[in-house]
Amino acid sequence: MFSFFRAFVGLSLALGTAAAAAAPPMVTDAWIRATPPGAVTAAAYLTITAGGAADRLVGAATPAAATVEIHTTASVAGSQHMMRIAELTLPAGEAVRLEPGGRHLMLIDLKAPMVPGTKVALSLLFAEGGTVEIDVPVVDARAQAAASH
Amino acid sequence: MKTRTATVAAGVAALALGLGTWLVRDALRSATPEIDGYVLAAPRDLPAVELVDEHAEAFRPHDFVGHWSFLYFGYTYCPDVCPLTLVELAKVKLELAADGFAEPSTFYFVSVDPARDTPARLREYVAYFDQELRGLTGSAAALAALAQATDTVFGVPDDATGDNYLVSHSSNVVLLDPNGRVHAVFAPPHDPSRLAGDFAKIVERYDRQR
Repeated sequence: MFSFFRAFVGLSLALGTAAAAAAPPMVTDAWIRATPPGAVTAAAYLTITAGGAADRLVGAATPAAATVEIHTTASVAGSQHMMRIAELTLPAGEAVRLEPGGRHLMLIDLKAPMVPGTKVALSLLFAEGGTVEIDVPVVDARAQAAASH
Repeated sequence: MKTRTATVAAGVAALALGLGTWLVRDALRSATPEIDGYVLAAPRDLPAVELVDEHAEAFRPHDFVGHWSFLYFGYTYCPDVCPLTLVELAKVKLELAADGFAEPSTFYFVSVDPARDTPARLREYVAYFDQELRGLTGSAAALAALAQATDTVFGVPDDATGDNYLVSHSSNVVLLDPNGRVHAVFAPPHDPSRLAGDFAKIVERYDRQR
């Protein structure tokens, strides 16, 4: 997997892109947690890998919610604090994971519940790599859902 | 009548004292189980607070008596760690059932954000994770007292207005024994198999001591 990734990056660098100053980071394993009825917030998880040079995730947006914030979760004196961060640093070639119980994108003021099986358009804005548009699947992570698959 | 009540009360107190002494002596003989979190040296009583459940009915600490209770404190606007933990707790419940665990146990989601989490909101929220998951909340004072007794911390911002504010909270899972006392605290991250195993150790010791 890693060698494939390296080959991919190598190929991208070799081909070069005349238009963009830097290649956009690679986004994988993206999913949004399906929401309970009445929810107005949701969390999106993904893995971002900056290519040849370091980059920063500086913003995100979706038509499905009024706002998207980058959040991190820190344990302060035994209490879980979910905090907004202005940007997420992406070291070159390093997979930065946004996972349950830690960093995530918080979708605020949902226009509709996140329904499993559907996809949500998400734009990620990078300081160097420009904008990356992805369609993120909504996943029901409950045990019952896993059992019925 | 009054004298008789007093006699009965004295008898009950003496019995409780005797039982207490016996429990303490027995506890010294039986090692505290090693768990991911901690078992209290002596189970702790809950304060006499009045809470409200997901059906808008009054809920008091004695309603925890008669079964093991798992408590998780959070709020329904929490997008990440609360749904994550409630999913893991539902898995614990499935795991206990799969292991043929006969001890009755109930899972509770305690919202520390009563301004937004009304009983009606709690009801649809908890049912989504598990039909038997219960929802509780209460006044700020009741929640603060309950939190203190369960080694839980939480913080609602002072300027919490409108719908968009973040609440901080412990991500522990608190275990109450069938006497309705705080018995153990499980520390995050919660792995369903490990938590179920830790719970089994606690119950085994508890039953041995009875």
